[in-house]
Amino acid sequence: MICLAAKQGYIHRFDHDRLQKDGYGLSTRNMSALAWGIVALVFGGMVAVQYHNAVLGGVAFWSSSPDVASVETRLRAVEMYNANLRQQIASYSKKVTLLQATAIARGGMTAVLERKIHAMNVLNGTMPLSGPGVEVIISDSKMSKLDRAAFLTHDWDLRSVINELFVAGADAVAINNARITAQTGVFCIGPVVRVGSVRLGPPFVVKAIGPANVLAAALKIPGGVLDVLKSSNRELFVSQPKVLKRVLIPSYSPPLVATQGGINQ
Amino acid sequence: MYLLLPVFGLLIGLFIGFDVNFKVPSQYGAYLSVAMLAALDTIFGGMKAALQKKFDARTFLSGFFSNTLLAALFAFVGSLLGVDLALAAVVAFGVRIFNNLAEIRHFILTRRKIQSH
Repeated sequence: MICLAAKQGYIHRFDHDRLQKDGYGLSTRNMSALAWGIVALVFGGMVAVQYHNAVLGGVAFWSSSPDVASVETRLRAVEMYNANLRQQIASYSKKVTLLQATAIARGGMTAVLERKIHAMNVLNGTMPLSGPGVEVIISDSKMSKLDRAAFLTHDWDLRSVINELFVAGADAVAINNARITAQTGVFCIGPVVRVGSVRLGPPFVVKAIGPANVLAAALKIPGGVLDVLKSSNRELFVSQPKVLKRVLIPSYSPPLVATQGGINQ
Repeated sequence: MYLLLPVFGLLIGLFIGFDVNFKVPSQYGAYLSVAMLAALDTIFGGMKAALQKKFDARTFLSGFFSNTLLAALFAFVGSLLGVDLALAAVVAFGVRIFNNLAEIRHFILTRRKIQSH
């Protein structure tokens, strides 16, 4: 189509000013061909990109305009705002830790109080911890699909491991970086496990900070929790507890939206 | 050789567009749609001008780029002001495209008639 029209253009120019040269050393005929070429190139690119957008991106023409666009823009803005706030929290908590450290160093009554606060924060799970500890990975088996429920990792499997770790003297425990606090419930929701306010899927990396050798020994007790998991004929994948010199466990991060009830308001 | 330039251009453009796998963020998708419509309008306008022997390469090229960019810009400004100017552009360009198509059709039909008589 474009070619046809271009041809019309040439024919006309050819008849009238065949010898007339343009300022760029091109005849008008070639110039118009070049113009059509450039336009076709750009247009082709646009069409291809738009096609990608509409078909492969799953966004149809009209859904790409007002609603989806505005919602997406708002979502981006909120996400950016949240990221900003998280950064602020991080910088403030760094300052607080620094002040607490200086208060403890200064000694006196404040130091005693600060130590108490520190201990409570550790218990509460409201501060990130790092130190020696253990790591154990538990995952679903890849056994038959006939009886799936038997081969999934369940909430009680994780609970038994967590309980064992706490009983053995762990200061902090986390599953896939979700800190276990006194209020953290571990419960199955369909194929995933809900830990506090987050939903986790396998593999479950359970990390604990505390007396590393004691923790590892507690997990490895013959007939202990890991043995039960391994031998219950479910073919779960259970790794050997790994003793690590430095385990990093983040602080408990409260959900952005209240998940249930209004009790803590 | 020069005759095939637009065809090659279109093919290369399509190839580049598909090959680079560039994805416009969906909130800007509407602007690209409007820009494409403006481009299509300019192309049909150019065809009409060529048939009427009024084609000028410079007008065509500058019109193509300025129309495309301005249409997208208007749609963008509209979205900032909360007015859906993209919709207005779609309607306006749609009407123009169909007018141009009708004129091209009329032109071809009447010319054929004259030639055959």
